[in-house]
Amino acid sequence: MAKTHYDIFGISPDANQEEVKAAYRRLALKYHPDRNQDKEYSGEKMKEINFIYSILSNPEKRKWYDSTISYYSSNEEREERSAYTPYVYCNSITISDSKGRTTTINVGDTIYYLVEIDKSIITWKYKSKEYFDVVIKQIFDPSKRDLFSQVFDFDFGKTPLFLVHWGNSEMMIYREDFENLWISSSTYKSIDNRKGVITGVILVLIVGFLVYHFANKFSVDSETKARIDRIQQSNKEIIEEDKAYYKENYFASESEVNYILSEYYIPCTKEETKTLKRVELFNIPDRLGISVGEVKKGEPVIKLLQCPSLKKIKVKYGDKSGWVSESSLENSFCDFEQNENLEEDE
Amino acid sequence: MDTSHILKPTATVSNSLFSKIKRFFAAALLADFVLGNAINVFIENLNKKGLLGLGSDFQAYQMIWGESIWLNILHLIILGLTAGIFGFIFGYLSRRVSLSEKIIFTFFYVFIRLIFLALFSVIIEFFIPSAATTWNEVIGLTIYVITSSAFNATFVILGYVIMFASALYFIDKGSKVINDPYYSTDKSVNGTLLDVKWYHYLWLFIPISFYTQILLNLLYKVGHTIVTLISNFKWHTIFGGSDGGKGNALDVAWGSLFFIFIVAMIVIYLMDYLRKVLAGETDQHCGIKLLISLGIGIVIPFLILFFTSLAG
Repeated sequence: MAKTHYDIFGISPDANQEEVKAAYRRLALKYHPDRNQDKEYSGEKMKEINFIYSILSNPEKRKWYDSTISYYSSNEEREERSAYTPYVYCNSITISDSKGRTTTINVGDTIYYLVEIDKSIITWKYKSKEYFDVVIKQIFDPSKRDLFSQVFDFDFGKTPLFLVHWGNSEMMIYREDFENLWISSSTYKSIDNRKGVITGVILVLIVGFLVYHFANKFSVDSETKARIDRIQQSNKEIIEEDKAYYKENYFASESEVNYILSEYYIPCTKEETKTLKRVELFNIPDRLGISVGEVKKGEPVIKLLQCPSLKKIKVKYGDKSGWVSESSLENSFCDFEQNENLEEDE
Repeated sequence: MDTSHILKPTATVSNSLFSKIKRFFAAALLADFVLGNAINVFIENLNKKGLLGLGSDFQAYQMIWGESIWLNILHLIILGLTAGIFGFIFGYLSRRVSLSEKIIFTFFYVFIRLIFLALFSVIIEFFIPSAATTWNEVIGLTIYVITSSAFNATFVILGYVIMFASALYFIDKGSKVINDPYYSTDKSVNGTLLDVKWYHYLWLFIPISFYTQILLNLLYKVGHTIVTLISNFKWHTIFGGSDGGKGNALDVAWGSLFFIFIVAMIVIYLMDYLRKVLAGETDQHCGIKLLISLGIGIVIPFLILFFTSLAG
């Protein structure tokens, strides 16, 4: 059975305004985010309480709500009865909301109602306007208005539009109320987008100011800039020379040169040795490399580079070169060769 | 159409700003320091294998990955992916995020390092004015060295743009997933991710980063196996020809493909089982649950680390 507003407030449907107010205060105290550890739940509950209070504290809204209570409180009976009554629902409707925006609303869509809730940051207390949202469960087809009286047993001073639900609570929303108090999800999105654009613009302005401020703060004078440019240019020339040297003399690829320059690979003195078994040449010094060829057992190879951490050696065999494990070579000792260019640079 | 059988969208739960800040840090830590770090370690391992050619002094958190345009594009993809993971987790945990919040939180995520740098500069200037000049010069020179090259400057800016766009897009996707009426996980209890309470993630970062590392390695091995199979396959053997029967990279590739499949299945099963145990979906004594959690979460990762090469 769906919960009514009175069930949520813990009062009888006959309660007077004082009792409604007292119940509201009691619940507001109970669920106030400042007094609850689960702030997400209490914040949401506060919106629900304020939404219900906005209806029960207004005599006219309460009267219209009261006239539909029997509809919510007898779910099973309603389902049973619907088998014998005309079908008065539709899946979508095109309608204007309280912001004057005309949109098509479907079953399952969310609609929003503005509520004011108390909030606080440490000792600063303020009122925040937030949207309470509900999901549309059924849409009453306006073209079948004449048949409504066969389905419902209450007075139609207003036109029923939606049956909405949140959790296990239900509520009827009239067309007149929707057009004055509620907004559709597309209006909600457009309000959200507008706020987003404003936030974006403010953020861009702040970033612009900060960039300008820090660009001045961290500025480098032209003399230092020129000195850095000279050093960078000089380093670049030296590195290019070294790269050319290793590429020519060690058949090193661009990648391998980077490892040689960072001393991960050691250039050997290009001694000759023999393979102890049939071995595959790999493109990288790891067993997950790609095979680029193979060398038979006892064949002479020239040691080019060594990767001590992976215990691999790059060898040259005929016109092919690739990495093999140290254990597959007769003599895996690599005599380090100093690059003359590097010595000069130092 | 009656929608009452559909689960209530959790979008109706609007978390407070403070809760969102908590979720922001949780998502940023999980994306950057757990998954992002696992990806970075994997990339550094690939480099140590000699595959990337970035030199031994390369570190994956550097803003520029060498002089190769392709490696820098790979870096951009990884930045976008990590930012996307952050966005998805943040959107998922926060339920409802307005566009303003999306922009603000994305801004903080993307520029958090620069914000800390700026704050640090202000603090130095305020408390240690004597060191402020040197500090400003060092930062100024670093910025100049990075931005003096058009190549570097382009990739740094592209990196920020891609991170921003990816995080913004995936926050939206994350909040849509959790609010899908037919999606049942994490609907009933607040502060859960895959039905596991948030505080478990304080220690789960160990197995998550570790198993992510294993899965990344397996992914790489799959790629390697496929390349090896294609490049070494002797097509004449299909028609009955002999390849000499000698062991080579092809045999290793066939073997590893089967092994990769088995290991991947075991890793995924273990992670799923750990999730079920922590989410309370298994009916066991709490002592058994503790042993299983410690076994899968701590012991197995360390055994794999010390006794196998699965973690790279």
